[in-house]
Order: sequence, then C-alpha cells, then structure tokens
Amino acid sequence: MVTVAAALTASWLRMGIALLFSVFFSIVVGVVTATNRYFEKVVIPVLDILQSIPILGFFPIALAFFYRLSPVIGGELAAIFLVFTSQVWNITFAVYESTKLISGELLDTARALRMSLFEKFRYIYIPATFPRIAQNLQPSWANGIFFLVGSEIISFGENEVRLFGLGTVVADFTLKGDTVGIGLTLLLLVAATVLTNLFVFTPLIEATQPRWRPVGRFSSLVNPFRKLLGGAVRAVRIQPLLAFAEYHTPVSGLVKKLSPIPSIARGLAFFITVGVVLGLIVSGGEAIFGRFMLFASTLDQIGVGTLGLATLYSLLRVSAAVGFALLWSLPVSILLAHKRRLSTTLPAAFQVIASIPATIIYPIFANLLADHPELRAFILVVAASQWYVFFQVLAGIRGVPAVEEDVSRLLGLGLAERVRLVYLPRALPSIITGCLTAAGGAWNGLVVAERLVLSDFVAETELPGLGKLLSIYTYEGNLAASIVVITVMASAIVLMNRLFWKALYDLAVSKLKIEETGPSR
Amino acid sequence: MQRESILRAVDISHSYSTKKGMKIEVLKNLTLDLYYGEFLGIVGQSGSGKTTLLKIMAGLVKPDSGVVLYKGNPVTGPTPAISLVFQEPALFPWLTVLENVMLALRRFKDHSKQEMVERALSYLDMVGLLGFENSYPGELSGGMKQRVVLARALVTNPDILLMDEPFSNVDPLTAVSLRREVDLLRQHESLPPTSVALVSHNVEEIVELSDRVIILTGRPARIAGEVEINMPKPRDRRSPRFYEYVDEIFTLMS
Repeated sequence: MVTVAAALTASWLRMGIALLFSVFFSIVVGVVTATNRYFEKVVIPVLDILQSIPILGFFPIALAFFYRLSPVIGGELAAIFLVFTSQVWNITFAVYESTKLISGELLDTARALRMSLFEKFRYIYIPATFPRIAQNLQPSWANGIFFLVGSEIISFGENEVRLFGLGTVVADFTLKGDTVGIGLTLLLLVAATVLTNLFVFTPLIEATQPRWRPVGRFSSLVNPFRKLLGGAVRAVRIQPLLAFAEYHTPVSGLVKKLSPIPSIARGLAFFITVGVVLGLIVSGGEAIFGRFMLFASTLDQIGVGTLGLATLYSLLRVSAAVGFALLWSLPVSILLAHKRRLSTTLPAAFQVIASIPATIIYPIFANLLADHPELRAFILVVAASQWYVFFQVLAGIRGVPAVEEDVSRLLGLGLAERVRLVYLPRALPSIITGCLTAAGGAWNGLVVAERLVLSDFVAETELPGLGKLLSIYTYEGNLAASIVVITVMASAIVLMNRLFWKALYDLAVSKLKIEETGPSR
Repeated sequence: MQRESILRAVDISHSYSTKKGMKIEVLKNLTLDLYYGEFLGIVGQSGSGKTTLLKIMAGLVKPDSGVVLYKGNPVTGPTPAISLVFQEPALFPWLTVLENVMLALRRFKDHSKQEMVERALSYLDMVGLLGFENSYPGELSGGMKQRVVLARALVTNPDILLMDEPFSNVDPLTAVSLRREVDLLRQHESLPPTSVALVSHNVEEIVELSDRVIILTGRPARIAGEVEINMPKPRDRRSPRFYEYVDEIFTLMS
C-alpha cells in the first residue's frame, strides 16, 4: 500500500513536471511559430511529424542524450522527457492556433503602446492562449498516463533504465502474478485521476471561463485559481465541455493546412537527417558513410515485404478499432442527445472511464486473454482510440440545431429517416474529425498493443504489425531498424491524414453545403 | 356571432425550469380559439410565451396541463393537418429545395414518387420559386428560403397554418412582398389552409393581415384583449383606420 502510494506520487510528480515543461515549451514555441513567418514554415511541418512519432520512437534520444549526459539523474530526465513527448504537441498546436486568432488590431495597439516582449506575453499572448491550454491539460494528462508504463522502463539494447513509479510497480505485480496488488494500484490510480481532474483541471478550465458558471460542490476551488491566474485569462470565450475531444483537434485542423506530397517528402528528409545525427551520437562519430549504407542494408534486412505486411496488419487493426468505436458511438450519442438527464451524467462517467489508462489495466487481462493475442491487442487499440470518436460524435449529434429536431418531428420523420436525413449529415464533419483523431491515437496505441514489454513480461500479437516490429527493434537496440520502422509508421499516419481523411472531410463539407466553421468544439 | 372553432387550446399551463432549478411559468390557464376560415393574429412582447403557445398548438410541445383540440379531438403530437412555420427558415442545407419540400410528403406512403415531385413542384410554383427546385438553400436569399418553408408547410394540404414571426428574419422589403403573398394565398379559395394563426410582436404586421387579434401580456401570459379588424384587404398601412387599430392594440399591450 505504502509502496503503491509512493509509486503513484513519484509518477504524478514526473507527469506534473513534464506537463509544466509542456506548457512552457508550448507557449514559447507556439507563440514564436505563430508570429514569425519564417519560423512557422520550418516548425509546423517538424511538429507535424514529431506528433505522429510513437513514444518508443523517442527511446533512443532519451537514452542517447539524457542518460549519457548523466547516468545519475539522466534516467529521471529521460522518463520526464518521454512523458513530455506524449503531452506536449496538442498544447503547442492549441497555443499556435489561438495566437493566430489574436486580432491584428490588438497587435497593432501593442506596437503603438511600445509594449516590450515581456509585456506582450503578459498582456496578450498568455491571456489569449491560456483557455485553450487549460482545456488541453486534461487530455494531455490522460495521454501521458497511457504511455507512463512505457516511460518508466526504458530499454534500448543492453541499456535499461528502471525508475520507481507506477509503471514499474505494475510490471512487478504482473510478473509476480499479484492480482490484488494490481487491483490496489488501479484503485489508487483511478482515485488520483478523478481527484486531479476535479481539483486541478476542472477548476482551471472553469477559472478561464469569462462568465461565472458554478461547477457545483467544487466551485470553491475556482476562486483561488482565478486569483492565481489574474483576471486576464478570462478574456477569451471558449466552448466548455468535451475536453477529451480537444486532444487531437489542433492536429486535425493542421491537416487541412498542409498538402500531402511535400509533407511526406519533408517527413522522409527529417527522419533520415535525424537518423544520421542520432547514429553519429550513438556511434560516437565513426564511419559516417557507413551509416548511410547501414540504412539501405537495414531496409534490405528487414525486408520490404515484411514492412508492407506489417503495415497492412496494423492498418487493419487501426481500421477495426475505429470502426468498432464508431459503431457504438453513433447509437449511444443519438440516444444521449435525446435523453436529457442521461446526457449530463453518462458523458461525465465516460470522461472518468476514459481517463483510466488501458495500459495499467492491460497486465490483468493480458494473462487472461493469452490465448487470444489478436483480441487482446484489439481491446488495447480500441481503448487508445474509442473516446476520441465518441466525444466528437456526441458533440456532432448535439450540434443538431433544436429547430431541425422540431422540423423533423413536425414532418413526422421516422427514426431511420431522421438519422439519415438530419443526424448523419449534421454530425458527419465531427464524425470524420473523430475518426481521424482516433486513428492517430490508434497508431500510437499499436506500439503498446501489438507488443507490450514489462521487463520480462512480454505480451505480443502473433500476426505481424508495425508496432510489434518497432518494439522488437527498439528493445534489441537496433537503431537503424527502428528508425526505418518509425519512418514507415509516421509516413502511414501522415499519408492517411493527408490523402484519406482530408479528402473525406473536404468531400463531406462540400456535399453537405455546410459553411465551414472549424471542428465542432 | 357564434362561430365554430377548428383548433381550440383549453386551459393551457406551461412552465420551463432553468438550469438553476427555478421554474418559470410562461403560460397559465390560457384558453384560445382558432375559428374556421379566419386569420388570427397573436401579438405580444418578446418572451411572452408566444412561441411556446404555438408549439403547443402544433403538438410539438406537450403542455404541463390543459389540452389542445383539433375539430374536437385532442392533439397528442405533430399532425399533417397542422403546419408550423418557424421564425428562422429551417431548411436542411444538404437537401435541394425540391427535396426539402418533398420531406413533408414522406409520411404519405400511398403517393408515387412522380406524384410527390409534381405536387412539390406545383407548390414551389405557387410561391414563385419554380426554376430553383434543384438549388441548395445556401444559394438562396433569406426571403426565398422562407418561401421554400411556406411551400413545405402548405404541400401537405394542412387545415391549419401556424406561423411564428415568419417575416422577422428577412429584410423589410422582402417582408412586404412575403406578406402580400401570404395575403394572396389566403384569397385563393381552393387552397389550404382553412385557418391561419400568425404570431408576431410587430403590431402593424398583425393589423395588416389578421381578421382578429389576440393580445398576450405578462408572464405567465394571459389574454389582455381581443380586437376584430373589419377592413377590406389589401389594407392600406397609411389609412387613419389602420392606425386606430394599431393604437388600440398598443393600448391593450401596455
């Protein structure tokens, strides 16, 4: 019990520090990117690629850089860095987007008043971006916990760093087969998650709302937060609710901005450059040209066929997960939109369930379902993606104007007709956005779903997959091979976003004659 | 003069609860008749429960207490015999004008597709929109959209047409021509509907179109008065008689 509580505290501290860094990084990078045109051209594509890299992809950097830097605190830094990579991108995009929305007149006024850079941040950028940041904290946190297990046991070849925390504690319990221990950990984790949401994130979001809207019993916390933040953060009105859906919305917004071929070309260039640089660091600078050859031979060694097959299977898993999520989300959302009382309680319950990281529960059913590795992986991918679909679909269905509901009742349309003629068309853009973001989440989830390594405990699929491949090479310490797999995976994500989802979204919007007002938030 | 009512709202009470759990009574023990063949104007200030009353009369909202009788039978839900036109032109942007109008005919299963198309087209012709049947609502002006809504409301051949501030979201000039059209449609003997109820806060508009006016005031709303308007149509808005009626209604409203 004490061990678990201590582990929880350690992990929470790690996540908190990573989150603070994420916010700081996001404010600086987001604002600079949004205000400097040259910087924007470089940073946006780079961020776009970085956000599509699964956490395992950062293992070599974490080890090569932080651990080599100082073996004493390097492990800790590496873990924080890894959690950071799973929390930061959505916040950065949110800052970027909301900075872009600051009116030109306001900036001109600032110039006329000869505001210093510090004053601009104090009076313009931070107040303008903070509401969106606040909304992104909770989903970032949830995403961080999902990958926490992976962040605390970092291994790359012979190098292995194990840090005391939830991830390692769960791993130990799993190895010992201690179900009671896992249950206890889970219980504490859920409690801590709910408490963190209620006492930190919800009041923080509330505090950034322009108008006074009490949140019930916990509203007493809103005031201190308001005092702490000052009045300025209340200046921008954002839609409350559905913080979970916020996680990938900036990403999907970005999808509409970039064109497909150059972004893939940029992606390849990026990975080769980073790969070479990393290769140099790891190998200590010897045989530069040998490294180039290595990639070619590695590709040969893995085999294009294997890669293709792995991609295909992974794609199937992602599609199945997204399809499954859509299948249950649609009827549930339609039902919820009609039952007023349910529609306030059930989503709140879902928010709590959604914030429980599947990776922590995973060890329990990993053993139970050892005979069905595909089902096991499917469950985890679904867990990593379904909430994105659900909360977006719900938002879409709720977005159906009341007058359209009235008209369809007045005209005596049956339920099937209503779904076909009113709900589906109205919610389609949200549905597509939800699927897009879910697919992104699913790809990242594959890395754990297809092969989860907790020290000596390995749960993997029998059929091939990119996540499995990546995991194998990463834990083997085969840098070149993992870079090749990451490149393929990130390209698959980027390709799907650009070619499939963007086209689908554009088609839907033009077919439906809907004036585009951005993703429904 | 004893007249027979086609739609009768009896002792209607209705209240909404706010988010804070407070109850706001909008209608209380309200009784109201819509007679055969008449154009009834219901006038009241914003927030006086006019829209709620209309929705209750159309069967869209179930009142807390009281009953609505259509030809003596209680109205329990939306029926094709009663059409309702909303304040904003509620058209589905992904359906063409023709498809939007045909939506109202879906419940008549005995019609063939061809019959439905012809019927919808003839009503579009009536509101002056022939040639626009394959356009999408987004391509139409506000006035044209409201005409599509009118065609959709009339295509089912309803006995009763209820209108909730149908002219308030279009520009003043369009509103003039729309009112004229509604007036003309009313003169058309073979055409539905038998009776019309128009809700508005615009007193001039009400006086221009109505045979009889009911004035609602207060919250919860109650009937503050009733005015019969005996003026031939089309009515001249600048005539002294017209203004006498307008003044009378304003006096009753305040």
